[in-house]
Amino acid sequence: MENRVREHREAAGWSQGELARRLGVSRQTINAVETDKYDPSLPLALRMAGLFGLEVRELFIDHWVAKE
Amino acid sequence: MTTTASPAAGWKKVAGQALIGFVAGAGGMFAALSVLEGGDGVDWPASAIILLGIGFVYVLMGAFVGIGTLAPRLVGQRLLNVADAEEILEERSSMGASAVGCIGLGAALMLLACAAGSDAAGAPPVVSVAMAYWVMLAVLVIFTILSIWMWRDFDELWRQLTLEISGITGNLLMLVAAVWGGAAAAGLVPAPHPLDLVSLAFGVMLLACFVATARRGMMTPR
Repeated sequence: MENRVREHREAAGWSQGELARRLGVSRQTINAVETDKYDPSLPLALRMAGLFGLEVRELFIDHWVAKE
Repeated sequence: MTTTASPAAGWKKVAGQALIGFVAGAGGMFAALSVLEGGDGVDWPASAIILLGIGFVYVLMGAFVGIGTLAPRLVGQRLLNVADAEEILEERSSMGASAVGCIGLGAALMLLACAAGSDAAGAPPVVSVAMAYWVMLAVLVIFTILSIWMWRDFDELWRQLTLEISGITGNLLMLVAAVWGGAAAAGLVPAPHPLDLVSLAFGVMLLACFVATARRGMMTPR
């Protein structure tokens, strides 16, 4: 899923390690999310969005459109 | 500060790692085969030699991770696919446990291969095949306990990865067991040697590790 984690992390001036430490996950997790190789769980997505002061849908972009 | 290196530097690092792996792997197997050819190795069944090779790969992987974990700044950040030495220090306990587990498991497989190979060749084995089996079983129990301890320490990505590795391993094993077993029952191919089943289990798990980590982008240079 497309996301803006890297963009917001860099804007906050944090390294991947710093963001991982704040969220209590490994650096590999942050790297995998940023490179779109892993979609985080709902609790982690909520924590990420909360940390950046955003809504989840502002951080993770889903292009899904409901069928009529 | 970002922790991602430029793509060119990353691939250069991977090429270096591959070269070190190739030299260590080829050198080790050459040395092992030389020792076997000097002894009773030429008479070993192919199944024993395959198991020896798989065990050696586990030992080699464990040694690389172990050396990298013991000396993260000096060797680790160049040898392992990490952004920097700090990342190794953050994951030191689980990486150390993985290294010990891989080396122990690989050594147990190699011991079983040597015992069974020498026994089949009619030469006096270093240990009896039964003793090698009990050693492998004991190592498997320790590996399982180690895995449970590591699971508690894992974050959600690592837990997901572990489940994917288990899933891929199970599906591949089912496929190979069904196809090979069925074909052997039909008389189309020889039935698997008991050592083939051990090789299959650990070889498939190794393959599953590479597939799962690659899918999560963990083989991509950092």
